[in-house]
Amino acid sequence: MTAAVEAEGLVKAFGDRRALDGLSLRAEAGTIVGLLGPNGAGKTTTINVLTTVTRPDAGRATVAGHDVVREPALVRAAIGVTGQFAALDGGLTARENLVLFGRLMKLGRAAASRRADELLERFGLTEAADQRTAMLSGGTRRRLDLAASITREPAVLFLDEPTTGLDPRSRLALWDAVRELRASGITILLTTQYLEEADALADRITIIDRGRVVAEGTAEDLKRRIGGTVCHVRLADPAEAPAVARALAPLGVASVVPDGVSLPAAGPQTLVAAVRALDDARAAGRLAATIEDIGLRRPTLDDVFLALTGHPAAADGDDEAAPLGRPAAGVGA
Amino acid sequence: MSAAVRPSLVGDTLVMSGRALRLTMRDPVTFVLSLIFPLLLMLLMTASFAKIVYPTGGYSEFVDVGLPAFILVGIAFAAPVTAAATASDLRGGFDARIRTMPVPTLAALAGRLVADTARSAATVAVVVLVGLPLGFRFTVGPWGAVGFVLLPLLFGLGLGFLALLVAVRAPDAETVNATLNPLMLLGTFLSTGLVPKSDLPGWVQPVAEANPFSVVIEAMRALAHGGPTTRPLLEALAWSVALAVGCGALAVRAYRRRSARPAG
Repeated sequence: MTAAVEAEGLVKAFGDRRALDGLSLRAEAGTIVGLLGPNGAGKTTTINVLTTVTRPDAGRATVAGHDVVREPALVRAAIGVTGQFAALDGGLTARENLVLFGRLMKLGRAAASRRADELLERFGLTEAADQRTAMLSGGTRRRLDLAASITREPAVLFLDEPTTGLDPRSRLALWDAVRELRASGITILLTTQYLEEADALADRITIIDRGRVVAEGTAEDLKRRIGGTVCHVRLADPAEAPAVARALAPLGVASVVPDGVSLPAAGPQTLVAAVRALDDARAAGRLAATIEDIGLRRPTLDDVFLALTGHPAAADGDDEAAPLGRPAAGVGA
Repeated sequence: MSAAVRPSLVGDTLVMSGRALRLTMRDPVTFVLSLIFPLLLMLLMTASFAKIVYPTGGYSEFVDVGLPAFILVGIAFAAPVTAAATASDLRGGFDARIRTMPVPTLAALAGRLVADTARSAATVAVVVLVGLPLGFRFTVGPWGAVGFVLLPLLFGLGLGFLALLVAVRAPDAETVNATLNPLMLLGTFLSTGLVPKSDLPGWVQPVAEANPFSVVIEAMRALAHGGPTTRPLLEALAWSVALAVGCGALAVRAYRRRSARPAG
């Protein structure tokens, strides 16, 4: 297979903070690669380097066969980018936006217009076609944003947290659109904080933390890596988690997760031992927590994340190097 | 495929100009500030102040002398609107997308300036056409008239670059307006555009005389009505070019630097 995206030893520092610290990454042509990491892990900086917006301090990267530093124009001609914030002109209609971006991708006037109609149809946007995009709902704008990034079919599409802030329905609709794009042969690099999103979409997953890759593989590989099952204790009050983790400590590495405590399990005996340990702790007056549920389950990517990085996926770390765009207070003129 | 998809300074600037023009024509605030406001001001101030400023002349003389100032009012007060829109582009994600496309870095900014110049031309045309029946006269001939029309466009471009500089450096669109509007107010009214210099308070006179708006207004008067023209015209051109080149260079530098920073 050939690599559509290949990065080696990328380093990028902002002041004395290393956003990227020797990051390497590879995406085979025609696949979806999920780039996962907590806030501040370096996801957006990685995207910015690969899309030629930010120059790396060290390391090299090629996208669609072109070097991002030496041949930025060729890279830009071959990519599409959809960021966290819909990057559209709020003063133009949906259709006008698509025509504008098509023209900037060097489609002729007629071709840009044809392509706009085709994309409006394909993404279910015909009703929104003549509305100014500032008036559209969040989900519709994201779909339009995705359409705008493929006015000229790209070889590689970058999706930077494409469903952040979307309601579940719009998220599923966007997932379908992304799967369709892969089916048409586009390589997709997807960053997300939602592990279920990576699980649902990505062929391979790269987990990064503090600017480095901490694990790489399919979702199944990664789950297998931390063992067969976990014993999970769900608590009514997550503040009780440390006390529960202490009670379970003799049985293994019990970690605090957002809704309770999780413990690698060797089998059903771990569950029995855990129940007993919690009972003993309660009898000894060391535990007062209300346990909502306790049971064995297959590990989720959350567990993988926790095991590999030592903190849950959604935890707030350093501020992520934000993309250039931020939500606008106003819209175009 | 990618061989044909190359940045094109002229082509992309034209596409971005078309976009900016469309937005300008769609924006009611721009319409009012660039076309209605200068006319209203001309009619109201002429009705109120003509007899005070020119006791022996009157309405038509006030229009004849004041018209360049009303043109600059229309051009100056619409400039912050474009700048605020540019600031929103830069922070709202639009610019972030353009930076990942095969488009020259400056095409978007250049497109805004082209649309601004078209807007300035509309202001000049409307104010002159309404001013003519009210007493404005070209007495120098066709070349003077051509210069009279072109000079405010060039000065407007200078103001456009100044506004662009503020847009690139300001944290948001509100700050752009709060910075530029007082500047434009001082420029247009602390000038010799509406009142003869000798009628201004003593301490204001040197300020008003040095004000680039006054310099351009005096040159426009010379182009319309004759008198010594070369010196005021050169001064006005120097101010316009200095504004455009100085602010333009700083704005482009600040714009390029934005891409090296982690956050918007």
